[in-house]
Amino acid sequence: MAYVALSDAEKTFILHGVEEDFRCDGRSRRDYRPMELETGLVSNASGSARLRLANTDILVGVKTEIEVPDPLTPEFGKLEFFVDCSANATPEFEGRGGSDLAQELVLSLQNAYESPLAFDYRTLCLIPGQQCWKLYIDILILECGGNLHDAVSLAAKAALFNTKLPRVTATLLDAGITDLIISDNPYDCTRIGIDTVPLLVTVCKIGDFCLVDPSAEEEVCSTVSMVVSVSMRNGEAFLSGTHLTGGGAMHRDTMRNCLQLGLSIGEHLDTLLAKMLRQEQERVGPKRPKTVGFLK
Amino acid sequence: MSGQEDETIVCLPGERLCPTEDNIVLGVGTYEQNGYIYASKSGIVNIDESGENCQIVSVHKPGFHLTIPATGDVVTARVLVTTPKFAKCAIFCVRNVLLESSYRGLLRKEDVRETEKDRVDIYKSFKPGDVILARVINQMEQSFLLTTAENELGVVIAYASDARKNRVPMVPVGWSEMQCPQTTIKEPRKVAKVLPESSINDVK
Amino acid sequence: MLRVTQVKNSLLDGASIAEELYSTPQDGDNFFESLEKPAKEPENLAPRNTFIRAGVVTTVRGSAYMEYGNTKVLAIVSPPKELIRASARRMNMGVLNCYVNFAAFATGELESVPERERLLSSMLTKAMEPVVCRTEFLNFQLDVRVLILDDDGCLLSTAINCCGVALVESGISTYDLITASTACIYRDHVFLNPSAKMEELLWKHRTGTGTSTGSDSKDNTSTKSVQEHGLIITASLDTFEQIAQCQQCGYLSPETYMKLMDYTLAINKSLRQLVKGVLTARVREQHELDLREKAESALEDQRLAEVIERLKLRGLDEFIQSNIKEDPYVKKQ
Repeated sequence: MAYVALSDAEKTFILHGVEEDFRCDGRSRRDYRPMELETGLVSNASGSARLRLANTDILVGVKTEIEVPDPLTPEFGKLEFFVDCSANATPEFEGRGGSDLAQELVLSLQNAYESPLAFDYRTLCLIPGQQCWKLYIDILILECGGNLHDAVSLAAKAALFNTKLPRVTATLLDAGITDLIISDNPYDCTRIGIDTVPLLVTVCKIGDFCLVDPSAEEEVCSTVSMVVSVSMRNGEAFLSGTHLTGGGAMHRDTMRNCLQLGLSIGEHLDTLLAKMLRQEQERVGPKRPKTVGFLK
Repeated sequence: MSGQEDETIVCLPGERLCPTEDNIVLGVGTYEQNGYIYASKSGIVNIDESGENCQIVSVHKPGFHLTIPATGDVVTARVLVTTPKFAKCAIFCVRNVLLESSYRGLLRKEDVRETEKDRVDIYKSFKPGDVILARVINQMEQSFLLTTAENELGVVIAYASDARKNRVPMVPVGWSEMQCPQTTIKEPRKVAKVLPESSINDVK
Repeated sequence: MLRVTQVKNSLLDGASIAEELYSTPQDGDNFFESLEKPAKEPENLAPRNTFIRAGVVTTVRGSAYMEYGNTKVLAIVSPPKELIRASARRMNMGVLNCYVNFAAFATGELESVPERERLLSSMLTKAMEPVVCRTEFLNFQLDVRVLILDDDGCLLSTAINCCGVALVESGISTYDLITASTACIYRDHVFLNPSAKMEELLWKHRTGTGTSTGSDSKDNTSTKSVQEHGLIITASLDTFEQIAQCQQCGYLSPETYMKLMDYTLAINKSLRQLVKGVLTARVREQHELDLREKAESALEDQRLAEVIERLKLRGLDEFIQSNIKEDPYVKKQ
């Protein structure tokens, strides 16, 4: 995470705020900061989303490519994540400074999307065993204001929702060779189901309390946080990859509390995101009349 | 866990040793948590009662120790590079412990000697290759800050600059001079006053 | 029926070598069928046969070797180095870096090795961070290197155990002993300490059900029964009942998650006894060596004193005295 220098007094202040359930910016421990979400703003990508969570700014683009599926999973498409911590976010990321953080984010996302129950890889299949879609999810971190895991996963999910896969028709040629014809019509496309796509919720432990959506300052105060990946399936929350991070340890009971908090928040977040995406889609319609631009 | 001849208590990291009390001092290899003292190393528990109404609880690890130079330690270092402002050294020995790998040390011009600091010339005090005794005064980001501003600190082993095949270490002939016994060339150095062991015994 | 995806390859002299065939999802199913399935609720929460030894490499001060069943791991702690990169964010903490490397013969698939190494290194570092007293080596970085000699599942947990022993052996302050273990669930069966084959099954055939029944599984999901599958690696510090790392992959309900975690915690407890035994024996061994060394050096001192005494008697006293007078400092003072 980006480093913020805090004095002991400031840390104590934040700690007391957390204890009182009244954080520095007026939130309670279960509140998120205001979020802005926009989709479909990168014209060169198949799908894109930009999420601003207070000071955290994420831009996600999804590119598509046709590939040969893995022989062991002939019905599955492929997914690849790439995180770029641009030096704009903080000067620390200059050169290779952000590579550790980027790697951590990629690993968490990969882990969360690993299970076919979390992300239905079958929708990316064109011809089993022969052709499939490969999605490149490129995540650009424009500004770093804490809680990157959550923001990145939210933005990735939104971008996947926005992703349009052109309709592909196959013609069977001689000797079992298939020829793919990709539709030229930009509106003739399929979408990806994102119902079960997981969201990461970082539950941060400060003092004896757990809270969600830590700001950069709060992240510095915390010794350990738990990244819970929540995937909603038929109205039930499932875990698709959790781990601890931050260099501390926690008790089993604390961990259970964190897990419960993360699950309930994740559930809530998921419904909200789905609602927002639907609204956005309705508002914009099938074609986007004009782009607002992501730096308003 | 006790046993053996003279009650050696073996402990492992995370083992609770005793509750913290006012007259118990934390020694090496221990830490305090929630009112108890725990061991942080594996080894033999050692309770030192020599102090005035206080006990020092420490864990002594048999075998080797992992040593890092700490502020105040006397270290042995080899001078690598000299510049007009500072000398870079490689610390290879802390107190009497030989290190596994050497650490970087930095000896600034101001820290070469106690008096007349402004008239110090690094190149008149050290030459690359000299072995010096120095004290660690601070730990900076990438190297340890050293000082030789004490009588007992400074160059202990040095060779004359004109390289010969079988070199003989120079012999100190004053506070700031050393002489090569073969060629009788005198060279300036910040010489450490190393007491011969016999004289130390005499003092005692 | 195909039991394991291995066939014997006859050599000229009649000997045979096992060769791994290209495996298909169907083979995975067959293998699973052939497996001895544990009870739904495992009762015997024991680790595998384990061998741990501290101080195996003589050139490095902290090293440990561990065999966990067939998984063989070697860990080395190199002395702290100065931090090269000024990472401002940890000004008041030392930095711990763990590197995991596979020996060239450790695994069959060479393609995925760099990626696995990266993943394991990153997870191992996260797991070891809580246990090391990082305040004791400010501005230093501690490198822990792990070499995997043989891979038969539970890699990360074995690496954590081994590193824990190596750290204690190297004399680096740690808050506690760290132990770790793995558990996984696949097709409603809980496997403790899964073997490499089992883990592979979990990843490669992660559909949960075979491809032939792919459509069935879709129906299943709509009818609420979700086939859980997943793997949990837990590292714990038992003195304070803390969990240093709990890494989960797969797809689990929260209840299953807690259940699996409790299993691993129980295994960790028994592993801890083992590690304790090994380290205590090691301390005693070294203590005795130390005592012997001390006795030897005392003898040597005595011998030297005698020599000096004898020299003095022979009249060399004068020579020694004159030598001291030549000391340049004596004149100045």
